[in-house]
Amino acid sequence: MTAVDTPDLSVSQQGHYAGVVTRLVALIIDQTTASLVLAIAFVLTEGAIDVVVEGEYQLELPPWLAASVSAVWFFIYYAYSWAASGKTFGSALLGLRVVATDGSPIGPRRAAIRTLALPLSLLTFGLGFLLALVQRQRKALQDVIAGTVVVYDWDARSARLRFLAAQRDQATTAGVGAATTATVESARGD
Amino acid sequence: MTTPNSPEHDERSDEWAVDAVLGAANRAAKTAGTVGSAIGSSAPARLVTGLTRRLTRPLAHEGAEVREQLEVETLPAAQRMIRQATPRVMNAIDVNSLLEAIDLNALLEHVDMDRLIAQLDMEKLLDRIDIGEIIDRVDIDAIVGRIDIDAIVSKIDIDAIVGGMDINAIVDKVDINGIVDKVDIEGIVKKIDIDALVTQTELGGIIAKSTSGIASSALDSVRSQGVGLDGFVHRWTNRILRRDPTKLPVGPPLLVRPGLPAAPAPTTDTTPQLGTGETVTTLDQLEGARSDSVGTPR
Repeated sequence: MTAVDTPDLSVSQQGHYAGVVTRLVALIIDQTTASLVLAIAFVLTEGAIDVVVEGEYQLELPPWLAASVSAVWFFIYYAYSWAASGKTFGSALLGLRVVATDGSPIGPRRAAIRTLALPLSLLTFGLGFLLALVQRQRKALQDVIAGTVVVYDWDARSARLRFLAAQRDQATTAGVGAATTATVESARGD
Repeated sequence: MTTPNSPEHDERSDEWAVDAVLGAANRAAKTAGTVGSAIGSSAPARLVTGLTRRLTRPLAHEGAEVREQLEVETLPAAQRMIRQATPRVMNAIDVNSLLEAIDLNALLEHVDMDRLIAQLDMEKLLDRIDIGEIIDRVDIDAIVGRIDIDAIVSKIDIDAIVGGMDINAIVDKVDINGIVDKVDIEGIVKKIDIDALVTQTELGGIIAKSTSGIASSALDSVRSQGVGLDGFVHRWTNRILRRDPTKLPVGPPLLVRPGLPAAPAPTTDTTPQLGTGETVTTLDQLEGARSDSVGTPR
């Protein structure tokens, strides 16, 4: 163990305002995931009906109904995730979390408002989303409306330690392998 | 030593004459005393005595004055003479032979030591002793130097001492919480090089086993890439907008220490790969750049 001058264990990105790249990637993952789940749900529903009703059945919903079902599903996907933990599937993967402006959990009301405001960012050709680039607290349009911010929720320090541990593990394994090889070669030489 | 009745005494003619005169005088005095007491107790003698006293009263007064005068004048002269003579007498005395002649044991047998000690005022005696001065004169180093500590320690039966101790009672009396409260745990932890701890001890193996898996590595990789790209984009945005990044807020006040300036973005423009050494560099840069501005995560 070596003493160092001033190591700061709290060094991490955790709790800092998240940037647009990770947020955009998280949004893409979320949209993809939610759409896939919705599509799978439609296929499963069609298959179930197919089993019940004899013959080839084609599920055809009126556009308004399909749009309504999709809207409700997306609303539930985002609003419930943010209200429950501040994270959707995509933001959890990217290590992001939605919190109130002061850092507290957002709660169901803000989660619902943010979910409803999210389409506005997309409908404005992404300009609402790009607002996070210039805003001091990196707030997108939905954040400004809902009074929320997005922060990093993962600890870079922990990731670093995991990486160092993995490196050590690999080095140990390589050392054992090299020793075994040397023993075998030595035996052959004899 | 010769006694008056010994044969040696008779042979010394000069002393014999003196002693014979003294013996005759002694006999005469005793006879005179006997006769005098016989005469003095008779009535005519008492009459003569009373008459004589009355007649000699003026003489007695005069004699008393002379005696007082003698006491006043003669005593100081005698004291001076004694003072002058005493040193010479003391010099003349052979103290060693005198002490040899004294049987100290026999003398001490007659001394009541308990009574002697009881009469001593120990408090007063101790008050007069300057302990500090005594201690100053003691050469502690020399004393300690002469002590064979190893020999003493080797004679001590530590097991017996420890066996006789009630460790539980001692531990019960120790205020563990008080001690722990006084220990600066945070300061100690800050001095520990966690990286070295992970890479050089079994702790690294434990962490590796508990967090092994491609998924966690991939997640760390994706996240570190994202943070690197975020920093790149926002650094350029700040340049274009001519904003001082150090004056921008770092995060929500409940999640980071308030008043902290925004940390500079990571200096790397390349996508960090957690599976290579480059990732460590990137994370180092991230952490190093934030070291003055990052708060405690909640």
